[in-house]
Amino acid sequence: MIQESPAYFKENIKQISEDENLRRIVRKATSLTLSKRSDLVTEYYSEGKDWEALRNQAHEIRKKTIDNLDTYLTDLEDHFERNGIEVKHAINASEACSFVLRILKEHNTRLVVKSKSMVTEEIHLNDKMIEAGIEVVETDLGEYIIQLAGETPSHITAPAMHKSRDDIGKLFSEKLGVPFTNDPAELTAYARRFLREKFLKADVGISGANFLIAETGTVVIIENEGNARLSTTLPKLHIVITGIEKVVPTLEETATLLKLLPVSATGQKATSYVSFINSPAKVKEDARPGKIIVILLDNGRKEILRRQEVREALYCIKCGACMNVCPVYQTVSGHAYGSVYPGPIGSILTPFLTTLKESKDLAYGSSLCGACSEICPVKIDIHNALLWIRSYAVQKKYTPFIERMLFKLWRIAMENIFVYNFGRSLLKFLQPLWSDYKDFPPLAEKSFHQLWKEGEIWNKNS
Amino acid sequence: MNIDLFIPCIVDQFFPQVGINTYKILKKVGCNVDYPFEQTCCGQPAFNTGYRKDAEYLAKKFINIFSKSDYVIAPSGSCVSMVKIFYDRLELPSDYQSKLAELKGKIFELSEFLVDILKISDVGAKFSGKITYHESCHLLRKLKIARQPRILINNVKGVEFVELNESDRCCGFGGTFSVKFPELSTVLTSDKIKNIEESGAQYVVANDSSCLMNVEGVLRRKGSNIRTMHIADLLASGI
Amino acid sequence: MEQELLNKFATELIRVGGEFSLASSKIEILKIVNKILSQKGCNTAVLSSHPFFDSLKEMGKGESGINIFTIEQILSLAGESDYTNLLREKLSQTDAGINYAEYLIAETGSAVVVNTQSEPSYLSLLPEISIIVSKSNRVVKDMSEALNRLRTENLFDSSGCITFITGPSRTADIEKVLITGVHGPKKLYVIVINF
Repeated sequence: MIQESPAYFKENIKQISEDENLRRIVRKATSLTLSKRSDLVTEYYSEGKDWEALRNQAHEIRKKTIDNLDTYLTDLEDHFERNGIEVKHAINASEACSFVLRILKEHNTRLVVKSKSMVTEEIHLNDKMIEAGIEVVETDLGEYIIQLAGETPSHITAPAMHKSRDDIGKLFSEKLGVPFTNDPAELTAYARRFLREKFLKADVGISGANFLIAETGTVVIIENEGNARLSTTLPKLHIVITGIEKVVPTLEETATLLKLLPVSATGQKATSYVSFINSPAKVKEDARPGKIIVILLDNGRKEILRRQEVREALYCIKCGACMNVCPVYQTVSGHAYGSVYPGPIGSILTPFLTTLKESKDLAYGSSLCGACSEICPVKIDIHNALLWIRSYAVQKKYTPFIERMLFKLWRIAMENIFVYNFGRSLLKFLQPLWSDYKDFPPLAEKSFHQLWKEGEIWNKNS
Repeated sequence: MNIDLFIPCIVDQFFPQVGINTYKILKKVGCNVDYPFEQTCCGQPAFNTGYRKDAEYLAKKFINIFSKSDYVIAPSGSCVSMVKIFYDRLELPSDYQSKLAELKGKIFELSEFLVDILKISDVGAKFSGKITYHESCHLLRKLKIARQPRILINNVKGVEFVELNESDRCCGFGGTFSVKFPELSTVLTSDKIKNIEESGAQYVVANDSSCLMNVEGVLRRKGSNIRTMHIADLLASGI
Repeated sequence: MEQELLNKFATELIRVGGEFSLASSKIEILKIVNKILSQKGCNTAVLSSHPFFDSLKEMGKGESGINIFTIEQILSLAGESDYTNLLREKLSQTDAGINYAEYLIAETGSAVVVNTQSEPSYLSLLPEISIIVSKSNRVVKDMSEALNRLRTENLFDSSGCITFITGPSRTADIEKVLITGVHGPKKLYVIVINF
């Protein structure tokens, strides 16, 4: 049983490492997305454009924004108000949920349609709405699958990546009462039919946001299916829930990020739909919601902002490329992390969304290969942030006692060449660390130090 | 050219022949080679596990030992990147920082030094066998070294070189990662070995003994005939 | 230059699964639309009430036997009853929606649709076929230029909602297999008139 808590990361990994089926599905999906991405990057260069320069530009945009977050948020809020969009600030998950519940109650809501939003996963909004007796339907196909299965997303852009077509066929026939099929086209058609009905009946649409443009007061939503457009146009009320870090100063800068995001996320130059929502409908003939409310969530983000060493994590535009490229993620998939945001970026965010104590193992669950930092479209130094979280865990004494003792001994041995040379006989105790899985190499008969001292090396090779 | 060898602790304790071969190669190309005897470890294991205070101590020791060297050469990408890149993350006193700034310009990984500084693309080695090449993560992504080892390997007489599929994918070592998550590490290593087997190579060459020790550990456990080989061992063959 | 941009647009549109046609006159647009509709076995279509289509309002009638409503007609049909509901109903039952795009984006093969009273968002979303019409002199280089032009031509700030449409509605949520028409249109046609 996979536990939904980062505190069980190690246990989850032990279990999942055995699951070859899961590994096959996830590796296939991630490889495909990566190869589409890399083809587009190659094409970008072949057209005489510089992908690396674009990443640098995006990094600078995100750096400037996050370094001056309060200024841009004030600007954003002013423009939202001018456009007739209501704004609320939520400090944490429970505050955000109670805002939403209050609004839903005020509007006598019975049915909510949702388009994919990781922030609503972060605050566990669905559970709260269902408890309040409201019907909640996820409309992104991947999210819909996950909702039917009673699971959480295993990837931030491809929530049902861990499921095979057979899994989904069985799920649909069980939950929707349709004949079994494992044909993706037929399964998609079923979902279209079931969900279209919900869209037409929904009272409220809830979405996240990809970007919030400060200078114009715009909510930008990027998607392929059209479910976000339906969720944000059919109901009479649209609630946007998103993190404070999503702000982008200008339209021009948004355009830069729009070039990077779909390429990095799904290997597309552009997604099927990019919606720029400026204001609610002014007259009924607009045929859009008459009211838009944006809830801006902190929930640990300001704490990340205060920590210079991990601040870059707020630059994240949630493309999921670091997950696709991470050999650990490819092997264990998202649920192992027991956290809403899995993979490399998730291992940085989670300690601040939960506690460091329960999620410190996440940062250690990386071989530090650096593939994440290399692919990140906004050049977050993920590698460096992971290292810092490790040092923070050490500073807080959250690492195992035995490990702390070993490093004390190790330092004593390394401090002095005589202790170091003498201590080498103790190295054989390292053997059991690996012995269940790999052969540990035998200690050399004589170390390089000894051979050098005895003149072996320079005598023979001079 | 006067060179001080920096022999990483793993090489020192487990694979001294890699150090000896590094010495041999550098002598062969006409360098004066010395080995500062007081050296131990650059501090990377502590740093990567989060024990920065311990790493800081060893960084200072390292800087003291090597700051007067003309060139510092190591048969490892990972240990060189520790000094060149990650020492900056430590809280070092300002006098150490200025010494470090200088040291960063003088420390090189072996293949980089041979190809880029000495402009040597053929060290005169001879070796018969089919070889593939694994890119060690820090060597590739932190030091951006990928071209140099391939040039050197391709110029060894008798070598048949084949590229490795997913050559840039981590072998699963990651230092303490392989100890904290042994089952996961082993899956990653097995992925690497599958690619090596599919390449048809008899030998897998890399520039870091740590990766090779890890890959070798699983190869041995499997009873495979494929062998690992440090680039220094290959380049010293027949010279 | 204009030709180059248009070629690039067509290439990119086709790449994302859209279909491209060029019309030399407004009358030809009519012919192409009729051809698409009859090829696809459509019985009904809804046309945007964007001024661009003013001279084409009567199009399609008679010739192909396809019923084409305009947004205006639906609005007047609604009278005192709930317009939005009627619009949803009509657009859910109709086979095709016909929109005007303010710009076309060459780099990505996208169409920039400004959702207004005369062409509400549902029009390019609820029917299974989406037909988008634009002019050859409205092709811009990339998204930056599209956004800039929207601003300078005062279309951005004055619009409640603008959508960049790139190909048909799609998903790859089941084992990364690409399926079109998951929620929105299965097919997307872009017709460009030489201007």
